[in-house]
Amino acid sequence: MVEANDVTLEVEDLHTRIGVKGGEVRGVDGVSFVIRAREVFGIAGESGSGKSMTAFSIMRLLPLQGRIAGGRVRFKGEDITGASDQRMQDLRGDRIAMIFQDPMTSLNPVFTIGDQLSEPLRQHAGLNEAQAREKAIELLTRVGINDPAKRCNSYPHEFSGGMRQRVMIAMALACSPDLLIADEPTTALDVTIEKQILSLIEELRAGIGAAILLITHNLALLAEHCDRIAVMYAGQIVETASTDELLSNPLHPYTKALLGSMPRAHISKGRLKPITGLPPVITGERKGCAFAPRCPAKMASCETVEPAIREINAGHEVRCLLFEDRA
Amino acid sequence: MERDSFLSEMLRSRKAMFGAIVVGLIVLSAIFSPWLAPYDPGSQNLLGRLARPFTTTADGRYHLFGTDQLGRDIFSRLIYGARVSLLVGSVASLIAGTIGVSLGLIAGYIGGRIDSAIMRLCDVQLALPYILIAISVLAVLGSGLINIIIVLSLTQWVTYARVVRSGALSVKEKEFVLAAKALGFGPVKIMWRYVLPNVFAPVIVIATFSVAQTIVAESALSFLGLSVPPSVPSWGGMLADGRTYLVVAWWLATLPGLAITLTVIGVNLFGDWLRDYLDPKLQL
Repeated sequence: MVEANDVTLEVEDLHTRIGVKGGEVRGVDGVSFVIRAREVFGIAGESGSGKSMTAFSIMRLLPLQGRIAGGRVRFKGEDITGASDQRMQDLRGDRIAMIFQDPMTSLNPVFTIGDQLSEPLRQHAGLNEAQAREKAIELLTRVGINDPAKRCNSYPHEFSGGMRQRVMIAMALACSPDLLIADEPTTALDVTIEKQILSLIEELRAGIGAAILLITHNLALLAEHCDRIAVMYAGQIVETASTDELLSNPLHPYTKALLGSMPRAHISKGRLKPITGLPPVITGERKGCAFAPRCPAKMASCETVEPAIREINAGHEVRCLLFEDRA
Repeated sequence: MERDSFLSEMLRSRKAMFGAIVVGLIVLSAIFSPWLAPYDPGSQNLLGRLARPFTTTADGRYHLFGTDQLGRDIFSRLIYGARVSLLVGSVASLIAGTIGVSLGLIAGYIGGRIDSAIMRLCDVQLALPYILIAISVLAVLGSGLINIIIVLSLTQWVTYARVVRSGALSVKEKEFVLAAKALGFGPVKIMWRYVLPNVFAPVIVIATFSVAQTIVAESALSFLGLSVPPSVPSWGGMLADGRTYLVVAWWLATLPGLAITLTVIGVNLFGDWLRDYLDPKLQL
């Protein structure tokens, strides 16, 4: 059993609905997971599987059409699902920080990098202008920007994509948060920069001891950097396990299919296996398993019986009828 | 490519230069009226009534632009009249801008019912002719410089509000606004530091055009006798007074008319260029 004070984030049966024409999409449908202090927890899934919605639900930054329909989010023991807007503002950027997908548009074009870095420090840490500036320069040095004192006066358009993402990381880490949510932090960057950015995140995690929630569609990336991984499909977590366990012993057919569609250097023979079809968008009631139409191991009952999540081995949970009898 | 500085870019455009020089001269004459005007604009000289431009009256006073029906020097009155026009034009635009920009930001960023309420208010405002509002408000409050400024700001804020609202609607969906929320900034800070600076360029352009419009509107109200008291020289008032003498002394009405036209053209030319300068989409 995990010690309560060791848990940074606990998400319990989270439901998020997104209003669309003629109904509500089950964006996040009963997601539960726990992130311990200093842990890197990864969420994998296709576009539209609800991984970003999970992140935005935790931050309470859902789009106007979205709402949290049920469940609990506990941050260091504090229930923040019902917290006041003011409390959330105090937490965001200070205790919980977030990095976004597209660094090209995540910075305010009209202010200098130094100004933007100082902003959260002045708001949350109560530093004055000179102190904040000094800290900003220090942060830029830490994320590996050359000549930080001079670059402080640059505007975002004078920075490359990789440098902007470094600035975003510096801003997110300004107040040494307990939890860093990285939503596809390298999708918009090229592969060499991706490597640098992720090692930077890991390096900084060691420095400030934050837990990290890493969200991406790139399983290889998760395999390299995460302690544990959850695989999401159609708003639900279908499998959670430690990285080693998930890679060596994937149980859910979807996880297997994802791994099978991933190119690997040491397997030279054979073609990659694509997953045919598209993930569904679930609006009404769930009927059976959401993956059933695309599943290679489909049984008759998959169409009608909704699988529940079960713990198969220690810390290895799966949502599939194939394993229902074993539990 | 690096853009040239504001000044060198402006020097290259003839339009902008002309506008800037005209506006500059008028601003200077408004500021330095007491030193530039050859005579006291109120001093009457009944012996030298309706003197033609470029004449010297019997008592040896030279009048560049002639005199009016009370023998007052038109040139001096025009110089002093610039004060009223520019003061009303700029202050009313500033107040209208402040109201319009604030309401537009709130409407666009907060949205929902507040947005609808503010936009309906705009519709109501646009549905009423400004002159009708002006006449009724001035009839209640009485005329005077401050009341004129209030009335004209009330009629000008809508343009600002609409433009800022539409800008805010698109800026608030930008990722950097989401990033700002993720950093824990409140709505006021986001509106002020993230949305407003990114929608400000069109506001400057509207402001220049609104100054021109307000100057014309003030002249119209002066012409109708609703503006400053007759003792204060104003271009609109001079135009109205001169109208009666148009057949015998054309310069009484023509010269203030020209002054209004020139100012408005100057401001508009400058605003035109400013719009091109501030809009990167028009840059080649």
